[in-house]
Amino acid sequence: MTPGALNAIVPMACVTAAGIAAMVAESFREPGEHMPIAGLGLVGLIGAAISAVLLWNHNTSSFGLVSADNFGLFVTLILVCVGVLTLAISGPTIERERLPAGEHYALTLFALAGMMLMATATDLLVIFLALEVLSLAVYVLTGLRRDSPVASEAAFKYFLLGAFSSAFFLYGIAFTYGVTGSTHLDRIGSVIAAGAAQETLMQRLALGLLLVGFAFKVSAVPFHMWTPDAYEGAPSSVTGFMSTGVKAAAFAAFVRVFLSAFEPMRADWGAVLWVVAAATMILGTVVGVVQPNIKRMLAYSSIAHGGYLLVALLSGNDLGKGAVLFYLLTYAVTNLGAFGVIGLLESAGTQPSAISHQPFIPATGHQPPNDQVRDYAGLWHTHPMLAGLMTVFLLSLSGFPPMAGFIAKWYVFTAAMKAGYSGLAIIGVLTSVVSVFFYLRVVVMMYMTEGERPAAFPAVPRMAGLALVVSAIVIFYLGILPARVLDWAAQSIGTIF
Amino acid sequence: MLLLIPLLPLVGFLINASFGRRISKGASGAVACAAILASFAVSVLAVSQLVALPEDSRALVSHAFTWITSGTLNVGLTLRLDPLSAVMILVVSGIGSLIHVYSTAYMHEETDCEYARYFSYLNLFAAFMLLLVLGANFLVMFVGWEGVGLCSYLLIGFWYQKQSASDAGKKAFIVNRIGDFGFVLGVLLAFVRFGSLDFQEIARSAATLSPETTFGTVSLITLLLFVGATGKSAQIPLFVWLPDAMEGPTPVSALIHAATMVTAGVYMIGRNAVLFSHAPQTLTIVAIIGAATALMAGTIGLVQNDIKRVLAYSTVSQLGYMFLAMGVGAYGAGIFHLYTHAFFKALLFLGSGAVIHALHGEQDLRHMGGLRKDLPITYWTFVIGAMAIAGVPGLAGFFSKDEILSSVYFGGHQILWAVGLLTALLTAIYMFRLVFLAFHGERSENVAADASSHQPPATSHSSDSPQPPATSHHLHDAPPAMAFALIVLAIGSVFAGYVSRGGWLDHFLEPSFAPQTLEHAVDGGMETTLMVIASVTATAGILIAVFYFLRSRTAADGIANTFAALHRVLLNKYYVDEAYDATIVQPIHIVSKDALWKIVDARILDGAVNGAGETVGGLSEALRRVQTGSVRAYAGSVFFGAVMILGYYLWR
Repeated sequence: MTPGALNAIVPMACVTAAGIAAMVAESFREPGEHMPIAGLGLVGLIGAAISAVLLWNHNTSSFGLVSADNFGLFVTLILVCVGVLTLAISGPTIERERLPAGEHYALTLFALAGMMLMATATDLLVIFLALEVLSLAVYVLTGLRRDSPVASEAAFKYFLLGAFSSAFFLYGIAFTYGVTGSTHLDRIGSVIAAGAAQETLMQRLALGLLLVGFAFKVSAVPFHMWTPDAYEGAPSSVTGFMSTGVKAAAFAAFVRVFLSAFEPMRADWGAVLWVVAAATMILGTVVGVVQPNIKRMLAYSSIAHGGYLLVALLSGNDLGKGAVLFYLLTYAVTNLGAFGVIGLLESAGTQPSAISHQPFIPATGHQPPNDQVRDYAGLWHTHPMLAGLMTVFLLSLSGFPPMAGFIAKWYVFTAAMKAGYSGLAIIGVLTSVVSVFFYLRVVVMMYMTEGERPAAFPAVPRMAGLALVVSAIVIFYLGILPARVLDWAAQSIGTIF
Repeated sequence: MLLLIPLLPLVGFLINASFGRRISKGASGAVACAAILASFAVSVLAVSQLVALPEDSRALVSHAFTWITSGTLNVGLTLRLDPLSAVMILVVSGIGSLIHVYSTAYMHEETDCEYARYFSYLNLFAAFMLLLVLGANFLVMFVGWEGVGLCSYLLIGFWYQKQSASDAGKKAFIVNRIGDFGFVLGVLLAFVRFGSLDFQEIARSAATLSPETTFGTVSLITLLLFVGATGKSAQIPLFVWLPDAMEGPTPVSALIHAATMVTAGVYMIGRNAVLFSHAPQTLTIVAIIGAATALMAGTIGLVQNDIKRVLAYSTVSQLGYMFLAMGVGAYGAGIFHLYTHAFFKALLFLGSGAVIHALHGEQDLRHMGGLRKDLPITYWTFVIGAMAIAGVPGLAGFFSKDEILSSVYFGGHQILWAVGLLTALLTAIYMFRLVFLAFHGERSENVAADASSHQPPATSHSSDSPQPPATSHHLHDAPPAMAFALIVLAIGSVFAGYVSRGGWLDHFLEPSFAPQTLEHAVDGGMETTLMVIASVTATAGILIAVFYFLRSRTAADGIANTFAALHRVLLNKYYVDEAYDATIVQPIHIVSKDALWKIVDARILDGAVNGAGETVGGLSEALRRVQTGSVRAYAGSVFFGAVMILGYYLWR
């Protein structure tokens, strides 16, 4: 083995090591003892970030299966952001739900390692492996509130359906192997390109099966049904994590497989993705409008955002490819910010009543968790800072200038127009116009409705507060000075495909 | 320096938004006024620099930074001051300043916190509006475009405790979103067609084309942009939000719904004059919509009884005038009317605000009357405003209206000219009806009793002490800050029109609309004739109003009774709201609320995840729920999708 042959997997190795350390630390922890486990994770993530930066432009590859090209590294860096923000905002949720902190952090880190692997893998089997690594961790995270029937149910549904869709994915790999004799993306690509003239039925079936697998993971319609339940059932910090991390990893692999290996078959998957993207944007938006529960609302919002990402992927021109990465980054920061605020508020709402009224039953699942849109009434009057931050996140999600979300959406729609998908661009503009309503509903609640929130508000943990403020600053930065990041995004992806 | 113009109000916003709760009313009002006044000062300075430049290179460009670059997409945060935007920033910051000053007195009964909130919104609005008019490309304009929409929403719904106010805010927002949809698509299409978002570059590329004879891409782009304009500028079919927007505080109506934001659509067309000139079919549509809106709103304005609603419909009508001008290619005339209209309409709104203020929230014209004696300043300034808008010769409105009408006439659109003339007649009638009903005659006795129940008193909603009954004994005329604004605007309403003497304004604006300003052969004799006709029309309208609403109101009632059906239709604004509700709002509501949600979101099907009440908990409970069918439904959906996709590939 040549020196440096393992370089490409260093980022995920750092995260895995941190995850193992977290697990070990948890097992040695005395009950009630406070341990900086989140700090361990942070160290691992910083290591991953540093190694990713060092690997930039080197195009290293390990075992011929994992390739640390700039595209993969960009997604790795997005995932580092996701990881850091998740660690920072998890505190209040863990405290309130009395979750096992070590497990929570360890599983988060393992999932992150899986995501990073998925973003850099260049072999279908490794992609599948990574998919399972991250999925298993996320299933458990979803059900981490063991005493809550809602959480258990959500985790169970997610698991069953995830297994179901994994089967499709695996069949897709098998069929692909049958057609091309390889699971390696480069090889698949060259075989398909060589025989593009007479493409077989088998080849199309393989494509369709893989498409189903990916569509499930990015919660595209009609494979989205698990999303609202899982997002609602999971603890808020986990919801934030899975809505951004899983999406980023899945889209990275989606882009890699479809824009490189299956690019010659664009005519086949283009039409299907067109319909799926349109349905995803429309359904996510329309159903989101009527959701009274804020987590469910953001679940549908996340489905809709998946639709915009599909449009960018489908456009596939230089604009579109850059747009995928920029959109993922923007969406990750924004959505995690929003879920950070939600997590803080959940704790704010239930703490006093849970302790005073129901001393014998754990608070989870039985106490209204303060996650309805109407629970945000008058937040501006009791906690202006949180209300202000939430406004920034929601406006950015709705694509309001000059927030990052606006640039991201603008980019996607321009790409679609340029690629000749004006129909999708029209649907996209229309749905994002409509989507403003459900985001704004929360804003209206916060500013323009009197609430009966008690004036006493538990102090916001410093880490979480800092993370939220930084997220908001990043959102403005990406909205006002996006040029540099956009360039990176476009270049990193442009060198690959 | 250009950057300072929108930046100063933004700083004012930031100060009031962060410290507003902790500082006194005086301080927050002073901060806001200082911010906008400073912006006005910088604007004046910038414009004087612009005027000093040689005529053929009159433009100041300030490139702050490159916003987006990627491949062919290169957009900077660039501000550009040219004659057109010069007129706009002076109007926005100048009249904006007066309205800020006026507001310090008008909003004085609010609590400290609310007062600061009000002024922070007002400053933010001004910042976005200035960005809108200074932006050198579509994207910067869009930031302002969206921003003013948001602020308008916040300001209309400022008294959110009042249900009607928050509803009105929502309605404005929804209607504007429809317009924005068109606008965004228009911008996207323009980018794809011309490869740029910069107004100058687009104009240059467009100038090389020959005007489209059939409905082509440029026509589509301009039509989509015009859809955006109809939303922002309250034209048919999207005008319905503006009258409702009168629920906001009156200075807001003056600033946003008369002088600045609603003119954004007109400005946008002026900004893209070259593009629109290449789409004659769109221009025809613009002209027809403008004329139709002017006439329709004018007729509705005749019978409304709420003082602010009359002014609202008048605004819609005057905006229609501006679009009529744009539609016949008389961009200079349209912008000229925009500019004079800003003076007298702000004056009228602020005057009505002074009346409402004096009457403690009374807005119904039928409960007013005889205010002339008690409110002399308000009365005289209001009369000047009414004369200006009616087109009395010598006042601002006369010049701009006359210019529009003669452009329409010489452009060969005699029918549209007749519609415009009829609207001018209606304008004179409804304005003086308003003047006579409010300020002349005797006050009705039932004022005080009705005032409290009719509409929630706008100005005093948050004060706990009961207001003294508003009888005719002790009405206070506008306090100094308000009187100051009224007087300045009245002076403006008289003299603002003189900038067009000898075609100076047209000439000044010309480079902004170049290279294609439609020139029509003007017949000097005919021009004078048209001017006389316009003057006679205005006078006739005022005389009609004198007869029916000053001398003999029974005659007016008689006419209303004779044409009872028509009167009812007008009173109900042609039932447009009802029609929209029945054909658009309700169906959407039903589909999204009762149909889609229930079908698509399984929560309704089986009450999926709610966890309420169950005490057993744990895995067994979860398993039981899993078996109730929802997972099967979910898996069914996945299966359905897979079958569809695979089936497509199998049988394609």
